[in-house]
Amino acid sequence: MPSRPEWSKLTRRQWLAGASGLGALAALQQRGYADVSTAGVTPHNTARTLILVNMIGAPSQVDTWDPKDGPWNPPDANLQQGTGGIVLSQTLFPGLLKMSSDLLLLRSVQSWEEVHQRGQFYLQTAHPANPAFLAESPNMGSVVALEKAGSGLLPAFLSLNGSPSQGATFLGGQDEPMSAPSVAGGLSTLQHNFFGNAAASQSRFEKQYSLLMDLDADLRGAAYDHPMANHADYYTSSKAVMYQPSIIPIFQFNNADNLRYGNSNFGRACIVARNAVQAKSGTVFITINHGGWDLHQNMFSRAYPGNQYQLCNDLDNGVSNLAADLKSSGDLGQTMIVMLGEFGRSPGDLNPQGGRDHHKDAMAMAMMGGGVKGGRVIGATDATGDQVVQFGWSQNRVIFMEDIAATMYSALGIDWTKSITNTPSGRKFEYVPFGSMGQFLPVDEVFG
Amino acid sequence: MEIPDHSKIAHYGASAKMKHLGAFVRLLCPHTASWCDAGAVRTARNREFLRRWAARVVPAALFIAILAAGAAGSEPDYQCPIYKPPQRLALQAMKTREAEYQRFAVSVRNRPATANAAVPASANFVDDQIFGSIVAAGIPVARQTTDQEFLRRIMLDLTGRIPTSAQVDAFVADGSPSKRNAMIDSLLGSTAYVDRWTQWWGDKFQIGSNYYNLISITSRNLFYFYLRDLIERDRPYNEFAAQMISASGDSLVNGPVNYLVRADQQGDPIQDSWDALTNNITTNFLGVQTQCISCHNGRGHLEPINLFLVQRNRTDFWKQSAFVSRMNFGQEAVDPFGVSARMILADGGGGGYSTTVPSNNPGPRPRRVGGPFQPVYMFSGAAPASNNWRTELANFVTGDRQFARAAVNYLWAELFTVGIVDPPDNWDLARIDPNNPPAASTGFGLQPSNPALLEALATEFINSGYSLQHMIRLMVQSNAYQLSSEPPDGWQPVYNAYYAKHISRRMTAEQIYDAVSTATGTSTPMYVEGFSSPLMYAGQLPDVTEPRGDGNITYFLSQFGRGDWVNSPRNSTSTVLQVLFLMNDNQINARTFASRDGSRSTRVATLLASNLSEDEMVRQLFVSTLGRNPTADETAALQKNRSSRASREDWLTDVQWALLNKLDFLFNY
Repeated sequence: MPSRPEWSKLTRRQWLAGASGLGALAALQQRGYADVSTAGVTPHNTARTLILVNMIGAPSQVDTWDPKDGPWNPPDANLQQGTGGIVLSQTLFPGLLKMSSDLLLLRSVQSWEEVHQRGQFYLQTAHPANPAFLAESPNMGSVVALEKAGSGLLPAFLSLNGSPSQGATFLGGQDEPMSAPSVAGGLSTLQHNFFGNAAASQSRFEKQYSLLMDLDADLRGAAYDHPMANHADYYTSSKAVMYQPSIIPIFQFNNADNLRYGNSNFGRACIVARNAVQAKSGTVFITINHGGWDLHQNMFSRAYPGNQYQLCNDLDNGVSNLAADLKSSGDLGQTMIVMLGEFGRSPGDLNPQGGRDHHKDAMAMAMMGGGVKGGRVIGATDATGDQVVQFGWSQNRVIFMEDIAATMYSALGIDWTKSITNTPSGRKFEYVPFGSMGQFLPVDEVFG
Repeated sequence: MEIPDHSKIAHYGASAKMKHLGAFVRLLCPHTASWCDAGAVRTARNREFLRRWAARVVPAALFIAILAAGAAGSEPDYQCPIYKPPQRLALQAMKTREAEYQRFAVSVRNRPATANAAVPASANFVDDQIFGSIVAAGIPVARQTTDQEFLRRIMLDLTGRIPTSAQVDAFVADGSPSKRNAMIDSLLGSTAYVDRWTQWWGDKFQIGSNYYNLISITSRNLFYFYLRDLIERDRPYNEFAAQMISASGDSLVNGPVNYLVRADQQGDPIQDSWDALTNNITTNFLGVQTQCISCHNGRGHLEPINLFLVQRNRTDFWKQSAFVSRMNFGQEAVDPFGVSARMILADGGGGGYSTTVPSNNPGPRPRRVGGPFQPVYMFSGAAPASNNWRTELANFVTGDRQFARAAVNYLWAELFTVGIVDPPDNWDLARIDPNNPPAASTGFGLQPSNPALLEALATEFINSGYSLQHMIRLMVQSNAYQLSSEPPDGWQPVYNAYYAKHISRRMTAEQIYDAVSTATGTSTPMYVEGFSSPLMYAGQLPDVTEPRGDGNITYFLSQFGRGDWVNSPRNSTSTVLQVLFLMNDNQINARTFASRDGSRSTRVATLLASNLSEDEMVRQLFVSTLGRNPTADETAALQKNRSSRASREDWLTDVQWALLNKLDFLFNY
């Protein structure tokens, strides 16, 4: 395991951390996680950063990444051939169709779940939503943070356009997602803008901060208990990101970009993600939430708010611009973009309400950048998008969320077979369930 | 046939054979990797895996034997013959920790008592036990709290609010030797006490209006006011536990019914709702989480977790769950959109806990077999004497001594930060009897840090007629509770188990919000549907979705880990964003200025407009924010920083800002 900044401080505060047998509290305090087992594998290590676009509500596979020539398609679907075997609707995904040489579609994916909440839990953690383990099933982004934090001033796990439903759990505050808003003015709490112009305001803040440090000196030097010492440490790391010319612009953007990315919450989140990747300031795992995909009705009614056209165009606009900008700045090669939802939707004809219901046997996802070899399709479903008929990868079975997690960990250079055995309850947390047994594996075919 | 052992499995690695073997393991033993993996055991898919695997790999005999075992209704033992759960490392870690504790315990037992162990006088039997163990161990003990420290702590613990400067000054000036007890009594009789402890119990039961479409705002309010009334009148705890367990009827009419509705697993077989309710009842009222054995037997799985549950199996759980197995949820939509739910809870005349589930919707747990099971109280082996099973269950639970133990320990954990059994919802009943400690080979010692105190508290609780207020008063009147949080010389974290100093903790989200409002004099009304007047404190909110009309306040509270009662538990961990928020968010800073948007004044504005001297203004800021006067070091720091501000207004704003960001402001210490 990498050495964590917190750990070295613990050593300094040995009187606080100590050796203790007093259960969960002590275990949480000792954030060493020294008890790690691993099967020993070689990750692909192709990506510096990963952007997970979480299509909350479960997108329809046949109306996104796995379109068919079926009677259910709206008349204006306009399916077009892209690079390789890629076919997408020109109406729904004009931007990504243009970038299809960078785009990889996986069509042999299957979900374990058919209920949103449980499916989202799986998507975010790669673990089943067992009530007994909610508090010990961290978000994958938090696991990545545990592994990769410390390369810059920003927290390693950034969540945009909303907070994930599952956070760091037992891994603790340092691995929690930083759920930053994406607004033109930027992250307001990175500076103190209450006293006239920027320079005057900053100088006033510095005065206030010195006063705080002076007043708190005694207590900070001899905090009563570990949580207090922990909180005291955050003043330094918080102040470190304030007024930083390298950090503040990450959360800001101009209106031209805003319009280009679609003038939507999702688009704005994509701009912040782009900025964070380009700034190389410590962010390793970015979740961008994109909700509204649970279309049980009126999918293709343009008058229906949040219909399939709007959702797909919003996604397409944001992600294609994000990928294009990262490509021109030379960052796409080291930034893996993954787009998926929690399961698929009922295939073939639309339901009587003009929508699609939940379906777990087949779903589809898309990937770009970060070592992904684009212009290709992995796997295939039958004529209606109901069942997987061609797996398209070495394991010769469907791809599960665990495999996707292993793929993402592998791309980031993380050994996906690792387990943390000294959790607060003493129960083992596997990065990827069954990963050390080799039951779930990275989809090697994703990589070039 | 040859059954491969685990070490061989490891060598199979990623072979195709392994895939299917893994799936089979997954079916039999939901524990293989994550220890308990019920969600992964979606039976339908696994049956499919199993069928393919059986056809290709397994000798037919084993397969048939497994099916026959299920068909015959025998208890399936999930001790998988193929794969041993990866418990060794966890067990090792647990043993190592336990051994450290035991070594420490021996070392302090053998240590001669030192002068450091001069303890305060005993106020009651809590002190006898706590100070007795401190003296016996010869460990250092913290000083007593100052009046200011005491007042701030007792107000936060009993009312969730910090004292005002007037309260602090009056309390300090009061020369009466019994003023602490008088303050305790006055707080216990206050509305703020009812606010705080209703919210605290509400947090335990989590009856929130965001529980899918099953609990509406109306139901949430009914439950909230039901609970509030019990706390206000200090009704016996056994009485309200029994009401909640045995409630029935309409969730929009009868408040406690919603305790049961909260267990409804909509869309899953009814057994899953029964099982969830059974686990809620054992956890809330007995401190024992039983959900592990709702999927598999204890043996072979829970050895490093819970020795009591190791001795229990799934049939024990099903028999326990049978107490609630006549319960049915009927849902009627209230409005044409089906938005809010009317849940009708009724007991049918079923024959017990049936293990039959719909084949097209088997639910998340591994297949249940045998039955139907008749009710047996898992903790004593008793069977109900009448047909009214839920009433019988309520009697068994509230008549169980563990009911009293768990309750006093929950209260203790809240008031002393760490439970005598900790975490307080994680009891191991095989490790609580000092006369019958667990065998050394288990790697465990006794679970309570002070078994004698625990039993004395339980007895006192029973004798008091299950009065929560009586127990809270007893605990906070003790001199042990009134020890300072400041570590004495030679302090080691392991001494926490002796409560030889108070253990500080970050305030809850609601407490921080209310403390900021109180300190700066900027309380804002919050409007909650169904409440006749606006609320002035976050500590009065009936659930974690409120105040839903005020994004600023809900954002503030979520920043500090209020949780959502469904997916995210309450969390008091600090984060960088919290510190950035406190330093730089407008919600905080606006309350430090001398003028705001005109609609409300601030503490700084009020002081500036007064005739007080500047030193007194600063002292008032300290007292209203931190509940105490500046220390000598702080006074020196103030003097050092004062000269760089031109105006008094700037100075007071900066002092107020610094105080709101101070560690001792954010902590209940």
